[in-house]
Amino acid sequence: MAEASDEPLDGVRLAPDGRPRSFRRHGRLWRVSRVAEVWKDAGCWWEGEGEKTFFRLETDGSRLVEIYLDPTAGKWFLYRVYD
Amino acid sequence: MSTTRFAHLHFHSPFSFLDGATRLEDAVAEAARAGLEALALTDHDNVSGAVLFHRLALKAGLRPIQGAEVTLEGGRHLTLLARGPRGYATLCRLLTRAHLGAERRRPALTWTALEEEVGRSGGGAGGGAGGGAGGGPPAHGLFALSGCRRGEIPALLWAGRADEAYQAAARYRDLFGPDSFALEVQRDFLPGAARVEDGLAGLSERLGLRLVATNNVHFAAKADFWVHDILTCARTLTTIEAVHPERRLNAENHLKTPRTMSDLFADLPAALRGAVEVAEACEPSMQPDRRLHPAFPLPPGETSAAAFLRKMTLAGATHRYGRVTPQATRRLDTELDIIGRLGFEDYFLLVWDLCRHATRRGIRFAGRGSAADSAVAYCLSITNVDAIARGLLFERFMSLERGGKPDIDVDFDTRYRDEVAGYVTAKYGEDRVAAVSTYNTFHARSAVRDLGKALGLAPEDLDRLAKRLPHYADAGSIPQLLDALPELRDSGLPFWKFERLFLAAERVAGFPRHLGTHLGGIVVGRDPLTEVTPLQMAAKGVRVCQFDKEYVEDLGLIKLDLLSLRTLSAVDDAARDLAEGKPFHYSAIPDGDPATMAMIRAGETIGVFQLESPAQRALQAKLGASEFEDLVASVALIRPGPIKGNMVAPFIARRRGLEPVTFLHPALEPILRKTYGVVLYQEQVLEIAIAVAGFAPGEADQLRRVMTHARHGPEMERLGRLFVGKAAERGVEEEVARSIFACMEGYASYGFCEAHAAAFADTAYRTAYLVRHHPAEFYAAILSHQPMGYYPPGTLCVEAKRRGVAVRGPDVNRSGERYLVEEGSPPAIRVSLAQVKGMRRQALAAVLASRETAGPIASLDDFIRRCCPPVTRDVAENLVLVGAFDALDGNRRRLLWRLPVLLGERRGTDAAGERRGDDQRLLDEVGGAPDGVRDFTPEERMRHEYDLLGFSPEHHLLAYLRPRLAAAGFVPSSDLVRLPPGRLVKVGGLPVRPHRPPTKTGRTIVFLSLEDEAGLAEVTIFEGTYQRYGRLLFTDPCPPLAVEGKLERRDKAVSVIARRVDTLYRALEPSWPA
Repeated sequence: MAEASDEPLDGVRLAPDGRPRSFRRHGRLWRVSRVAEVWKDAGCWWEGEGEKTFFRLETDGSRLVEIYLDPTAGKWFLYRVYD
Repeated sequence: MSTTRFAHLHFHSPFSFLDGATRLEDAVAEAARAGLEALALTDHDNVSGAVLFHRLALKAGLRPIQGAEVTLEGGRHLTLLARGPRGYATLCRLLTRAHLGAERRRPALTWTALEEEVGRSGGGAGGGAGGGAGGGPPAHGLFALSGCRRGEIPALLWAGRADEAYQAAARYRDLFGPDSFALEVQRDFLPGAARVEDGLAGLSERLGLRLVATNNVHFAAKADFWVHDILTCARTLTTIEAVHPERRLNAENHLKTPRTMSDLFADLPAALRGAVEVAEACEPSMQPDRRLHPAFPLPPGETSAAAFLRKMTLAGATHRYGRVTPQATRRLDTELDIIGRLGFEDYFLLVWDLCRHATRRGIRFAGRGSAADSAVAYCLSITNVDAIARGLLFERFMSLERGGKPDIDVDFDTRYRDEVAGYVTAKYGEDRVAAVSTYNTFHARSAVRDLGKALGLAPEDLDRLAKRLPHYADAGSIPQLLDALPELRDSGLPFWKFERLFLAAERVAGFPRHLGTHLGGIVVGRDPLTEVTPLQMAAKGVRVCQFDKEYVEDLGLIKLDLLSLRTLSAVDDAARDLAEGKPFHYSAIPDGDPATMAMIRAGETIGVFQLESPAQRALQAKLGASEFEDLVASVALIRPGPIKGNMVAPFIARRRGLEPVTFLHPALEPILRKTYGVVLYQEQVLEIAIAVAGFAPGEADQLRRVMTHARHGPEMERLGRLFVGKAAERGVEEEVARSIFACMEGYASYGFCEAHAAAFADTAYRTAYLVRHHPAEFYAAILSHQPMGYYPPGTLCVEAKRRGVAVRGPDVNRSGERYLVEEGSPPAIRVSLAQVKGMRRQALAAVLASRETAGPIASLDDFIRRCCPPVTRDVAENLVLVGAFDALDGNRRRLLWRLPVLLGERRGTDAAGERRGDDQRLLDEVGGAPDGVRDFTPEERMRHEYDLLGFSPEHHLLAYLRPRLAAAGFVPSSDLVRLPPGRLVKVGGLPVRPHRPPTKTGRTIVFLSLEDEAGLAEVTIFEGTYQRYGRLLFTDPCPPLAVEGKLERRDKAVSVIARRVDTLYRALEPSWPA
């Protein structure tokens, strides 16, 4: 099961290749152990949305999460957390 | 220029029809700029862009690879690339089987067909990509790539069916050969890509298959994504707000540079290498020197096409000329020599043969175009213009210097054109004959409708907008048109909602939207056409190739135009009707009939082929046309070029002796005498170059072509110097030579082909004769073949009446499928049953058959019993409303009341029983017996007729309004000729074809005719007035109009120069004019 969310994320740190290395959620640090998948979504371009980049990440706590970067807002968001 | 090597092997252009968002020109330029090794064009299930792509790529210094993304059975995709001509031929055969083996517009290639074609060509374990280790490329000549996400292998991998993916990959490998099948890796950032890529890498390792990096390119730049998305919505009939699986998730499918691809695949260099290896193994597939011209099957005993053509030509010459003069013999020898040296004997014989077939079958035809410059074509009875007698130059049609392919166009009676094409197909084989296609491209109207719908805009707004856009308008010009055209500017449409639509329309302007079928063009090949073009099925059930007329010749094919001309159908009907009662032969119509010429001179030419438009009618009056040559000139004069080039007025002045006829040099006199010193025909440019500067005929035609197509530029300057120099050598003063050249230069681009004009003028004169002497038969015939000509049926009926022919409404017992002539004094035209709205062929046939077998219809009851069904209730109602039962019961409203009851009785107690009950209740409510019902008023009857026939046969709206119009000072059209010029007049009528021809100044002038009960009033609306009232003119439908303006008369041509325009009904209000 996955929990959907559009929760803003702070403190996303990136690797030199631009992929997330870690992020903070509710004050807790989540370290990325593997980037399982990257995809992009143009969204509602006709409403001015920018192309979002999504990352499916495995964290060192063996959690599977998906986060995305919204270029319009210039912010990271949590998209989904898998149980 | 990038130093990283890469080739894009998977690219969709707009020829993927709503699935490619960058113009081929722009994509090729971008690919060359980016430094790509090669670009492969892989449109969906077609190679329509191949010739253009080949031309563009070579020009840009880019290696073109021809290919296609083929749809397999089950909807799976497979990318196929041609290694060269052989692979291209295999691809064409595969695409043909995909199209012809499946439902139209849903191509699907079966595995069996794939196996048969690839296997037949010798697939299997073929050679290496570079033609290396395996001993040369495989015989099928293809590279196959596993395709996009919709490819069988990626789809199976995405679905987690790895074993099946392995089996599929092995199957493709075995079919194409291990070096000719590669796995396509696309890093276009779609969810699930990692799983697919991992699977592909595994298959590559296990099966020893090459990986190739591609990007499934659908647009050149990332910023073009939105255009592609809208096109996808248009293609899938959805809107941008809706989800659809075929919409791309992101903007990654663009033409990424080699550097970007290299970065993207930095961890998989083998895939980059694979793309380059495949590209290196491909060579251009188009063979410009190839010749697939048909071979004419010679009769027994004949040994060569050349000898047989000569024999037939000479036999025809004897028939045409009686005694063949040495001059004629010399001319025919010259033509036959050129035809032979260019190798077109078979082509001439093919056309001769199909014309002979038409003659034998009694099918009317007439050759047109520059083929009428050929005496051989005349002797073979392909054309009816005596090129020798007219002094026409063959080189305008064919020349050794030009060497291009001749283009013979023949018009056929519309009803039998397909039969003639069928004859060609039967004779040369279904696999060697196909229709030429057309690329239906986005114009303003289609872009507004398709893209606007995709953008979710209100259908009613789109409809209003589209209807106000000119038919010809470019999709990129809409914002300018909004400012320029009052019908748009003052329409009240919410343009602020359309901004994105207009931007999108501009981006897709000229994109091919779908493949159509050319009206007349067919190609006939010596070998199966599938060697060079895929074939698919057209809507009308004929095979059509995937190239349009511009490109078929680059494939080595030769085209001929078998055109449909409704005028010939009308002529045939009229001639047959006339021949029934009296001796009449269309071909024996006397030359120069004084009454006919007088009628033409009076501008009374409504219904006459080519001479009926208001501009032509005015020209005839101004010109004082008195001989056939005037008609030839008229056909050439009323064209956008001469009008824009202001050629018409000087020609008229010289023709009428109001301006002196002068010649710059005595050598010009014999050439330009017939056109009063004016260069009007293209042939005259050739003749001048020959006579004045000593050009060879072929050289002269090259000069004409340059003058026509590239008037400004170094080539033109070079030719000018050459002309002046050569003329000077022949003793012509340099200044005079320069003036002559300038004169030719000025007119050549506007000049018209004399042979074509003469061919049309022949039909024009003959149809004029029919109008003058047999108006009932000829108007009945042209009314039967609508739509044709310039005017709607209502106008033709008014004109027939003006000529003393009565027009009678449809009659269920007297009317036929066609308009019929009823003898009497005056003779009358009976409107056909086919004219009634909603009437279907089957229903009409049933009525006629019933009359034939059971005699006349006695009553509405009888009609319903005998003909319903197949005549539907709606059509029966329409028949009542247009008066088709008037002879049986004149009260149309009473019949209308009876209709449902009678239909109910006819249906008995079946499912319609409930309806019968309702109808009966309704009748009870309105007072019982329908006998008491009062008939419609005359105005109501007329309105029904206009609605259901398009006109009122025996009445006219303007006649009905005339008392009020007269009271308001309106004059009928017939009175205009009697009024003094300069007088302010008011006219009203039904607008006929308002149009804006091009003008020299670029300012808008609108011409329209107003039809009233007496004829037509011609109206001219200049820019200022148009800007004030244009909103009333170009709407659909256009309401009856009132025009106030100044009467202008030039000779017998009368027109009203509008000052004020309004709807007729508003104009009848007391306050008009304010």
